[in-house]
Amino acid sequence: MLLYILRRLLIAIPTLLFIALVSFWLMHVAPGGPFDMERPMPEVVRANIEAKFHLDEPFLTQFFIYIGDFLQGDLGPSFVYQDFTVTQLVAQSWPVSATLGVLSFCISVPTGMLLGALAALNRNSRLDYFLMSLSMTGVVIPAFVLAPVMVTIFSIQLGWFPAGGWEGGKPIFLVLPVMSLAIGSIASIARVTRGAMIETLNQPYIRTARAKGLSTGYILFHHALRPSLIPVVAMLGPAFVAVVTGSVIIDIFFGTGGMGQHFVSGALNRDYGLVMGITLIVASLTIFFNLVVDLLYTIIDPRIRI
Amino acid sequence: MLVTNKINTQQLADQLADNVEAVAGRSLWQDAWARFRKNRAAMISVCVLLFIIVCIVIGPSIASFSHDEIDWNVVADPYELGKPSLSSGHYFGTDDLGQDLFARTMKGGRLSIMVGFMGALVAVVIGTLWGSISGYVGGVVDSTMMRIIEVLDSVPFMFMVILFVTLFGNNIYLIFIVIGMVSWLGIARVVRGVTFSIKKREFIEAAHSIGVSKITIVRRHVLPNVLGIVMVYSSLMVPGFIMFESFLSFLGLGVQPPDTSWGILIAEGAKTIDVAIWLLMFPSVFLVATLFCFNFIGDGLRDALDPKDR
Repeated sequence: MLLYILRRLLIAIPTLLFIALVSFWLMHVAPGGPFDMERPMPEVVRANIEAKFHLDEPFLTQFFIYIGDFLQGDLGPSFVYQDFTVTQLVAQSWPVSATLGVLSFCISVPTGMLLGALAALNRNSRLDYFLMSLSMTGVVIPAFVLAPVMVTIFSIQLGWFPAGGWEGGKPIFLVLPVMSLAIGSIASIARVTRGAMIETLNQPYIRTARAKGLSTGYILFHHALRPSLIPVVAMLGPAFVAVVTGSVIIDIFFGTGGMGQHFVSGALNRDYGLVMGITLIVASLTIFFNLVVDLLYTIIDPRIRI
Repeated sequence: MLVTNKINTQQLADQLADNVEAVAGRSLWQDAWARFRKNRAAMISVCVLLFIIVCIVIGPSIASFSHDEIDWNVVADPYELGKPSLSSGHYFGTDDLGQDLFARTMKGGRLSIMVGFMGALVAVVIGTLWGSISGYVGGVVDSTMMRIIEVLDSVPFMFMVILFVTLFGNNIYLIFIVIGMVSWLGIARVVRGVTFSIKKREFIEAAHSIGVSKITIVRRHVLPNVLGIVMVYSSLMVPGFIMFESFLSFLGLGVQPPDTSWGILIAEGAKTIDVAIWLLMFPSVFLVATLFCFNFIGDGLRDALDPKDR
């Protein structure tokens, strides 16, 4: 087990380097730079600025300087937000994204699994059809349609919640962004849970449990839940990274100031430092949660050996 | 005695042969089609989708205005004069510039649906090739190819696509290719798994033993068996791509004016939601209906082509 974790972490290093190299290279060969202004700046000034950010060095030297700094926790300066370092910007936006992500995750996992299990237990009944059409609706309505609709209903018409902003994370500002994030994942978790649960409920040992006269609740929690968790967990790893790093749409529509917002504005402004920093953080998180998911498998199903 | 017996057997054999011809065998595809036809949600979805496709094909020519034409009559007060109405010729109303939303929705639909199909095509071609080679050849090749997929799996693709598109411009063909290129991983995995299990089946061994070449085996025996699962997978991928293109366009990273897509129209509609609800409503209805249809069709195909689950 320990050996396995070590091996996975060792594989992670070249993977991260590869991702860093590709994104670094992409930004290097792309036309346009952060210091392209409408009015060309004097040669000397340009040379000085480029020297300051090591932009005059050869490509690989730049890359290794960046990696060296990265390992010391220094993500470099932001080229566009000149008073901030990338580390500061990330430190500022990360709690926002994480709060939204963790909250919506905590809402969507239990709700989604409960609805999925309900549908599976009443397979092909009215309830099942109702829940599944509801969840299909949740899956196909994109966040960027859902968010404006929710704002129209709950902030403009009813005036219950503010239409955007963060205000240090006051609960009332969290409701709409969290709901917009959660509805989609509730729907997809419910669908996956239903599928997995139906497969489990068809197993002979469930029939045996029923024949023994065990109650439905007992069968559900003691016999059916665990095997049905595998596909759900497989889906949750990437989903967790996606919500924690900030759904780009939610950040931008509600102006919460999460990481997604910084990423898009960074890419548009060619703020290389900011974009690289966020890309690497998201990649590290993805690798980490992929590992967590694989370890969870072995806890859920001891027959899985790694 | 012996002779009559012989005749009887022959007659019996003839009769049997006749019977076999009488009940012509049903192929896997005929079977699947019969099952698919019984799935009401899927069949309705096919009809709705066909209707939408007919709309977006002939829509621009029956619209009273072209998609980037400004109707100067409504520009003065687009939210009052540009309301949806049959008499003004703006069936879906106009946007704040006085452009006809009906023409724009139809025009945008062409692009959105095309992105869906093209993206799926690119992903299916790469994924099927990668997966079937990996699964059929096996050994070192297989494990190397699978390691590569594992590495690519931890790349945050949404971020990479945004990066790619912002850095290299919003060329629509680039978007097709990038979207397709980053989403073949799943399909490659599935195809590899299926190929791997088919490879060990008796009919492949039989083909080997009568001297069929490897390429022919893959073409005649492996690919048709993989095709079903690829179809299911890609029909579920199309709505994903449509959504992704809309998402990029919503952020302003997708297609650029005067071209348009459902994502752009929804983004514009979302800004004026308090004064002109129709700008959000019509493109959203079309987008959501299309996504619904593709999902139901995908589910229907899965039920039809994968009878194990019934």
